Amino acid sequence: MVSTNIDDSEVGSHGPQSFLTKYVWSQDHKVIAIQYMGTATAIGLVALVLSWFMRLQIGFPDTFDFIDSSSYYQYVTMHGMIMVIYLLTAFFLGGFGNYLIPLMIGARDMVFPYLNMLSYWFYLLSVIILASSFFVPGGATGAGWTLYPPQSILEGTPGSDWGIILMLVSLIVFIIAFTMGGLNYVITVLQARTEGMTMMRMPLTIWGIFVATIMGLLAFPALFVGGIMLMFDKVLGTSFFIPAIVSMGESLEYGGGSPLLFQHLFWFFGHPEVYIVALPGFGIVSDLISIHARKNIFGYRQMVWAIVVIGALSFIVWAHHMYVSGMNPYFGFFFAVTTLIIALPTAIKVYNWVLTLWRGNIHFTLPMLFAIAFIFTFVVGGLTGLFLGNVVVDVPLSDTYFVVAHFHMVMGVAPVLVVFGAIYHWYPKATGRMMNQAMGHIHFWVTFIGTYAIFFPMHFLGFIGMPRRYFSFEGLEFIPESAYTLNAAISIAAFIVGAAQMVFLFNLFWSIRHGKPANGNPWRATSLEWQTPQTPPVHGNWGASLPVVHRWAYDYSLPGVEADFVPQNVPITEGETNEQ
Amino acid sequence: MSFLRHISDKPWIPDHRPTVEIHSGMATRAATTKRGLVLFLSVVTVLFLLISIAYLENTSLPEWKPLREPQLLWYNTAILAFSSLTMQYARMLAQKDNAIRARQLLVISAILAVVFLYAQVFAWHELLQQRFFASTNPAYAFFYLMTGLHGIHILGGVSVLILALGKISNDNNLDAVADMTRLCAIYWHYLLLVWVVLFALLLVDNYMVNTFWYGMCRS
Repeated sequence: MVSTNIDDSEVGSHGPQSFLTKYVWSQDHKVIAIQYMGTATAIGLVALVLSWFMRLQIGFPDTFDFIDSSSYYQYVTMHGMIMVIYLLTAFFLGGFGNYLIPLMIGARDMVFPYLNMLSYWFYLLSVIILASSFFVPGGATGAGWTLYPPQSILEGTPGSDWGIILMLVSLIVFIIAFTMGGLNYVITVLQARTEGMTMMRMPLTIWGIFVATIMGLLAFPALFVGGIMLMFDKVLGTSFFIPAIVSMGESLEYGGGSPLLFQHLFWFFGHPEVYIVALPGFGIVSDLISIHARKNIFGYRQMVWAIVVIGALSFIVWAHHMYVSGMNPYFGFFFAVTTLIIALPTAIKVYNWVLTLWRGNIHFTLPMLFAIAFIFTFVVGGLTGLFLGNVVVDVPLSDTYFVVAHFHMVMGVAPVLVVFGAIYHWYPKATGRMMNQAMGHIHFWVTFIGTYAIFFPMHFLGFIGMPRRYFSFEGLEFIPESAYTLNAAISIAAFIVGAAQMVFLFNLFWSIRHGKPANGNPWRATSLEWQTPQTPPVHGNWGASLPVVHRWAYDYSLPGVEADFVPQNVPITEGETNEQ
Repeated sequence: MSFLRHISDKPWIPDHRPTVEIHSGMATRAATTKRGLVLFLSVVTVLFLLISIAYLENTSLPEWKPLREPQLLWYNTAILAFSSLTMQYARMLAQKDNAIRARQLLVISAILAVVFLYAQVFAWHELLQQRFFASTNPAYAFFYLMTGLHGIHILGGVSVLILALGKISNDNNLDAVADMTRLCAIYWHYLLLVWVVLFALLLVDNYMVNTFWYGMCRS
């Protein structure tokens, strides 16, 4: 890696600015990060409300007039798409990526700040387009978040006039936004690290975000291509994905396309997407556990390698989402094998987290509670993934609530727990105050126990064959009465967990003014973001000169050193060895 | 394999070398933008790769009917190749500190690229006049999709080049001109490469359908 020192003054103007350029049209990575997080939270709340509507119908069928089968499918579709793409991807990469990358690697800002600003505004545009689809004639699309053609664009599916077009346009704009942001994150990590910050001295948070962003850059084009082609099928009448077809008794003018092709394109994006959300979570959890257990992370190199290997493997497993599509059984065998191989690096990570906790000086702070909750939830969700990775098990379970339970545990609840833990952890850096403990504990325990109350019973519903995606279970004799009772209980749990999130939101705003003042480094952490001269960090981050890094990010409880942590920018003392 | 060397570091062992030796800090602006461009082009490569795979997959379907590509495309290819050549010449001149000539050649390259675009639109026009629409059959759909996306790619390149030319028009900073010309040359050669591959793919189905590829996919 060729790199030379440059005069620091060349880095750009970091002087005072007007309100508008400082907080609205800002090129500061910290402001952009908070804009990203705010927008993602806002649209995420919409998705939360949609999930309540779904639970109202499933828990108490035929009680609420405003939910019919069409609107139910619209809720399902929009809930899924918003949560996966517009909330989690945007929050982890646009939010934490933007906030933490420059601070943790010792840079003043992203390398292309203007592009970074554009990235946010394109993201906002995509969210607005998406939200507007609720209000067009026919409403939002109800094609399911996978948007499989032919049904997604043909008459009979809710929102097949306008909703689907707006959804595709929104996705395309989102991908453009992500690409602009993603180029920034990757190149900033590669080129803008401060003196002494080698790749292997970066905190694992940065490794997770870095690899996830590369994956996003390589995976989103598949959705982009699929989206454009699907839109052409809808708008121009091309037949990329539509074979000769009879719809509602009429023979349509389509012909010659391949519906399976869309599924391949979608999942070539869709599976890496799971890890685009998971890898930053892995990285952040590693750091939270190490900091709050006052111990260096166990097996740092393995952790990095596992992140890289998971990232690479996740590109050759996509068809395990398509076992029921009627593909060649030999393909199924290949994809089952690659899927199960991913369990190896993932298991290494879980063992290393547990071994980091082993005999650590564990502080049960809020971030630590969320990190530990993540490990539990991720293991539960991951183990059911091993079931579903096998063709013979997947085929009967594929269309049941077992799958809903699996993916909500592993890529719904688990990453969201990390988001919460990370917010509690970095909040004092961003605001200078701690979040309220009491409200935080209420939020944690209700969320942790509540999500188990919601998703754990769904495994059993899946085993008895309760089909997912159904609006109504009327006429399905094999479903026992107790399953309906269970569904009502799940719905009640869902409302309670949702209410707990309001406590969290209140805490978020309340603590800006009333939280306990925090010093610059309340968790006594070693990584660079806690060593900024001001808290919250000002534009330009580092004052007169950039920090110089002398050690890795995990020097906690070093033998022979009095303080229990040594920040990364403290020089190695003479005779310091590492014989732990 | 510097990446492998990097990730086999043992960061927990204190290193008594001066930190500058270990990593000297932020890279130069030129190196950074070049890396950004290369990464962007890799993203674009994935995009075109996926379209190519989708295209090849579709050509193997029994319903596939190849289209007769307009002859004009051969001339367009020549124009684009010529644009790439002038760009390369500009790059050589810029390295020899001949900024004025380099700028002239950059303008010529941009004009040639615009001519190419215009001619592509003309090829579209020709097809549309014969009432071959994107909805006619998947072969036409892919033709319009591939040429269209490549066209947008060129349009993006030309607009960035014009913006950059505006920036360096009165600039006597030879390094800036040389850096910019180098980036443009990478982009332009890449455009040509993508076009040649896409064009070859568009032609190849005329010969291969129902024979080699069909046999491979359907066996």
